[in-house]
Amino acid sequence: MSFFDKSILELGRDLRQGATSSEAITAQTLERIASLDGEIPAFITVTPERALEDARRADSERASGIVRGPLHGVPYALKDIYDTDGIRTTCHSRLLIDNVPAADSVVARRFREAGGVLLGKLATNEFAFGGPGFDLPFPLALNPWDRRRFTGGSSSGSVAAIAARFLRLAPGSDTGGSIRGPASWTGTVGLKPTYGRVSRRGVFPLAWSLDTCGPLARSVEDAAVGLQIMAGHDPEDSGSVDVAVPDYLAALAQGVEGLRIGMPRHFFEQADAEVLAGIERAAEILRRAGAIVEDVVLPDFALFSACCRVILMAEGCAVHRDNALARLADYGEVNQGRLIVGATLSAVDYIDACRLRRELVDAVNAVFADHDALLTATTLETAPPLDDISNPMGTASPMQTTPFNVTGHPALSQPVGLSRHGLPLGVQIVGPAFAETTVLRIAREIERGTNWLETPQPDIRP
Amino acid sequence: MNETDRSVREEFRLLIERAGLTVSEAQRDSLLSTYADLKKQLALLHRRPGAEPSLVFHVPAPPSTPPRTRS
Repeated sequence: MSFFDKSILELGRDLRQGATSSEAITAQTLERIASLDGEIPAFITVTPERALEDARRADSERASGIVRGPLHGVPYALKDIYDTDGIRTTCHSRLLIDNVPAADSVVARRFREAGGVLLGKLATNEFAFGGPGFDLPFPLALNPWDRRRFTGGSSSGSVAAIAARFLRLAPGSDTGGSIRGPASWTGTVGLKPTYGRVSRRGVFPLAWSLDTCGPLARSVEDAAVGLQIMAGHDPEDSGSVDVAVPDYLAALAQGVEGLRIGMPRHFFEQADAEVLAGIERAAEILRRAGAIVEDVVLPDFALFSACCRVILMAEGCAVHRDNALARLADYGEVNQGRLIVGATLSAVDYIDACRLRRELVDAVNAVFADHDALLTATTLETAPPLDDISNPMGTASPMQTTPFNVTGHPALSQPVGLSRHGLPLGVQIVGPAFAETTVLRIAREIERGTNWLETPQPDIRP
Repeated sequence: MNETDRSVREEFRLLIERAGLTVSEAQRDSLLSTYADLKKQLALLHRRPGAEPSLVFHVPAPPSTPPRTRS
C-alpha cells in the first residue's frame, strides 16, 4: 500500500515502529504536491520550510520518547481563512493579498501542539462566501474526480487536496454547507460539529451565528482524529460552549445497534435517482447493523433555506460593510453580487429570520427527543460542471446542508459510492447537539458497509 | 416589462442607493434576478407575533450571595 493511502493511525504506527520518518513522509508529500498540484490548484501557499522543520522536530521528539498524539509527524494543511503566525492568510482575496497574521488561530495552534506537519494554506471560495470565482488572484481548485466539475465550496482546496491524496486531514469551515457540500462532491468525509464545539478565534468570519470549524478527511477515523484535536472550550470565543470532549476514536467501535434514525424524505424527494439510491443503500446498511431507520417529518425545507440565507447574507454584509463601500471592485464578481444583494436586507428581515430560527431549532429538537440521528441527502446531485453552477444560497440550490447551520446540530457528509459517471455520492448524517460520537459511529458503519475505503481514488496525473 | 417587474427594479435601485453601493450595467439584470429570488424567501419569514428571535439578550445572573440573617 502506498503511504499516500495510509490512515493517520497507520502512519503513526509506522513512525512509532521506525518504519519511516516524518521527514521522509513530508519530503515525499511535498514532491507529490510540487508535481501534481498544478493540475487541481488546491494550494494557495505551500510551506516546505515550515513543513520540514515541523517534521524534523517530530522525528527528534519521537526519538526522545515524546509522542504528542496520532497526528504527531503527520502532514495536514489549513484552509486559507485560518490565521497562521507568520504565514500569509489571504482568504483567496485580493483584499488580503499581503495579510500576514502575527498569531495562530486557535485551531492552527492546536494542530501545531498536536505535532502535525503544516504543508501550507489551501484554496477557498473568496472569504468562504460561496463561489466559485474565476477572477480571483489565485486559481480555482478543481475536482480531482473530474477537473471540469466543481469541488463545491467553500472548502474547495481542502477537499481537492484530500481527494488528490496529498494529505488525509484539513480543517475547513461551514456556514451554510462549506464542509459537507465539497465533501459530498469529492468523496471525502466532512464533519460540521455542533455550533460552539470548536473555537473560531482567528478564523475569518462569514456569519458569526452560523460559522463552524470542523475536519475534512479521507476517512471517518481520520475525521475523528481531527475533531479530537479541534474540539474544546475557548472562553475567548463568544460562541464556544464548555462541554466535555469525549474520546471520538474510542466511540467508533460502538456500532449502531439499537440506534433510532429518522429520514426526512420530503427534504430530498427531488434528488437525482443515483443520490436517492445512495441514501437507500446507506439506510439498508444501517438496518442490517441493527439500527431502526424510519421516516420523520421536519418543517418545510424552504423555511430552513430562507432562514439560513437571510442570516448568512445579513451577517456577511455586516462583516464586509466597510470594504464593500470602499473597495467593492476588489472583490471577485460573485462576491460583489452577494454584497450588493445582501445590502438590500433590512433589520426587520434579519430579526424575522432569527424568530423563525427559534421555531426551527425547537422542531428539530422535538424529533431528536425520540431519535438518535437523521439520515438525509447532502446534495441533490453529483458535482456539477463548472459552467452550470447555481447560487448555493438560492432557491434552486441543490445543497441540503443549510438546515443544520440554522439549528447548530452536528452534521457529517459520508461517501456512499460512485455514480455511473464515476462521481462521488454522499449522504448526510445529523445528530443531537454535541452528539458527534453518534454521527461518527453511523458514518463509520456506512463507510464499512459500502467498502468506500477500498474504492480507487482519482488519478490526477497530467 | 410589466408593472411588478418595474416596481421590483425600482425598489432594488433605491435599496442599493441607500446602501451607498453602485451596480454596473453588466451586473444589473443578473443581480435583479437574485434579488427577486431573495424576495421570495423573505416572504417565508413572516412568523407568528409571539415568536421571539433566537438570540434573545440575557442579563447574566449575579454571583450568589449568602442569605442575610437577623442578628
